[in-house]
Amino acid sequence: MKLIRATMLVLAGLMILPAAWAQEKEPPLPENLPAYGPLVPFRGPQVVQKRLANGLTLWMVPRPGFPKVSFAIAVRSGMASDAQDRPGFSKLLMDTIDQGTKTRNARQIAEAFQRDGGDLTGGAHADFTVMMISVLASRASSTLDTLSDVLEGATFPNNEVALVKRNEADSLRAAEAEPSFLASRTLAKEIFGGHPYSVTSLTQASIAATTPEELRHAYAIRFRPDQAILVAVGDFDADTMTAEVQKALGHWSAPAQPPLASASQPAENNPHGVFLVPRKGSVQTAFLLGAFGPLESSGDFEATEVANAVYGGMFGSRLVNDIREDKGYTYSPGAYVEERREAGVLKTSASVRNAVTGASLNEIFYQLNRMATTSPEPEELTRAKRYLTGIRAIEYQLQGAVAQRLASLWMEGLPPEEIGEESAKIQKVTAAEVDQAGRKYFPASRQTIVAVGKQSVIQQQLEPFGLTIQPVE
Amino acid sequence: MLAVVGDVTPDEVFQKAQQYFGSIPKRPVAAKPDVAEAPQKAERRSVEADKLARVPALAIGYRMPPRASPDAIAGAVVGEMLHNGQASLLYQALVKQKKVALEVDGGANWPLGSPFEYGGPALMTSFIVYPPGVAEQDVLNAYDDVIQNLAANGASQAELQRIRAKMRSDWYAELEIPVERASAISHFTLLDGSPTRINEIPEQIAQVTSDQIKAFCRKYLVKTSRTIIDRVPEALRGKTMNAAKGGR
Repeated sequence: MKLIRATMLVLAGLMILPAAWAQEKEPPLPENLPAYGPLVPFRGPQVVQKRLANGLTLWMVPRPGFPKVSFAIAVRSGMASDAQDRPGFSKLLMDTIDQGTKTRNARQIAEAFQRDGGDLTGGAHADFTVMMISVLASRASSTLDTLSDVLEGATFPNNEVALVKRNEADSLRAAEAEPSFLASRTLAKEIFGGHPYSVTSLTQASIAATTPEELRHAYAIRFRPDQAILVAVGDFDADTMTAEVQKALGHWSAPAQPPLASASQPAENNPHGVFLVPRKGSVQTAFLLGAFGPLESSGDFEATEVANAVYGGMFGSRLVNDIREDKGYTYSPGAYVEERREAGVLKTSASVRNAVTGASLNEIFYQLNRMATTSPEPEELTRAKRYLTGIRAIEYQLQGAVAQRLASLWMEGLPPEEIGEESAKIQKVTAAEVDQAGRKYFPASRQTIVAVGKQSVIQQQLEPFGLTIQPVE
Repeated sequence: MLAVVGDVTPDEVFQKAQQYFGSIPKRPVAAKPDVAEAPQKAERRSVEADKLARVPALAIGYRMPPRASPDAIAGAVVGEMLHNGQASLLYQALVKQKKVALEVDGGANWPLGSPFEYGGPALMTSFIVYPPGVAEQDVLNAYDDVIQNLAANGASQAELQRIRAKMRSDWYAELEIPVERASAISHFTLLDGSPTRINEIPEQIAQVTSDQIKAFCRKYLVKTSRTIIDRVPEALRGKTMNAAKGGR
């Protein structure tokens, strides 16, 4: 299956960048601009919740009109459940799960989904793995039939596993040419230390060592109805869909073995220092900074999201205005709130010209510390809250986005109604709460810094910060 | 052309358009420049070295028919049959059967937009990432087999049904996004003079026959009207360049 190359869900901090960027300073906005119009937040859907006798959780959102149905199927085990000597194994599992069943070969599976108007995509996250497919509503029952085959009868044929392994080895080589891949891999390793969350990708050794038997064994233990959810969003009737799911997946049974244990909460003691990933001939330094933030279930999650939007999580944020609009150090800086089941991480990313490597980190630190020591202007808070509310209204128009969000809520142990309450919670955030989140999570001294680029440039330009600079693979 | 899609009423939009744009004076419309390209007479090939890449990749581009041509819709279908997902002809042949590619992507007007939104000269592009141990010519041979087979045999009824369903579904997915719907409406208005063509696309796709697919391949997917760029990691360059020369 086509693997979505995200290692975790980015829950907030979606940025919309205009396609073109004019270098010259914009003239000030005219006076007497119309006031903000009324805010129209996303209205949460009625989520019909069922549980089949075999333990499969089913969340449905019937949305008539648009003639498609989106399915998300998630199981509660991911890369954090992989054996220590098989980092990234879950990715291979998702790559091979649709490569053959007792009744269909890989080509027949792909063609069956295409006949329904869909493509099966998948992602291995830290705490769960998820498959997504959007099909014509008239073909939804056929899709469920093929999905049930993949969920219950995958055979992991030796030749298909061998091909996936060869291609993943080459894809990993290709990914290692990308600064963003190297930065993410190193940051997770340094932030989480020995915790299973430190793994975000495969290694050549784990690809080489994985056998078809290991994949079959893991599939039997992990793909089980009592640890799975099926989310359906789209043009269907809930009773009919329930009957279709019962027919397709009602006979799916859980193995006798207990499910794999989920990850424990990691210790929040990430190092404050620079980890330098040398990249010969690089003309940019790719920065990725990270520090622990709140869990999504935590009371200060929304305030942190608002603080993050003011800081760097939206286009008109301080960081973007500073190092992109004002100084022109970088094209697309950003700040993100990333959630795993047992850990939240605040991230800052910016790829900057070699010559301004030190100057850029100085600005990033300044903007972080500004969040920690001063209060945002009321106008900044209004803009951030409206942005976070508006982006949800836009995003959740799409069936697939709703299906994916519901699957991730289930994974984090949160109720489906949360999807409709996010905007109200954001609107309720007070200035004092944003100050607290800023002080708690944003100080530059909490950050682990990864810099990918030319070694001599990074060492020389970051030396004045007085941090340890440690070259890593 | 201003297209507005979303939670608004026509009255409100027309009033605001009048308010903000009504005062812009009318101007004479500049004549449309002729951007037509001279026909390509021979295959063009080049090899480029990439300092940072770790795996090689090929791009193959064919000249597409003009928008107004009845062949254009067949080109859209051929592009999707070749490139759309794991069930596609190129993925199955190059990645799965012959194992000479890691990834295949492409289509008519790819990656610039949908096959229905070009006005001037356009390409059908195939983008193929292939393993460092495989020679460029082996990838091309496998590729040419797929094209020749489609030109000779066309599409079966089952293949046509599948690609129609997939293209209908993909078209809906694009229109699900309001800004894409607005964009499609504005393109059809500007390029065809018909905003409602947005509703006709799935039917037009469904009418493409196997014979049209064969005819399209024979007329447009020919070597003399294609350009091939092989981009290889610098470390592999000598080897791949020799392979490319051997293929001529």
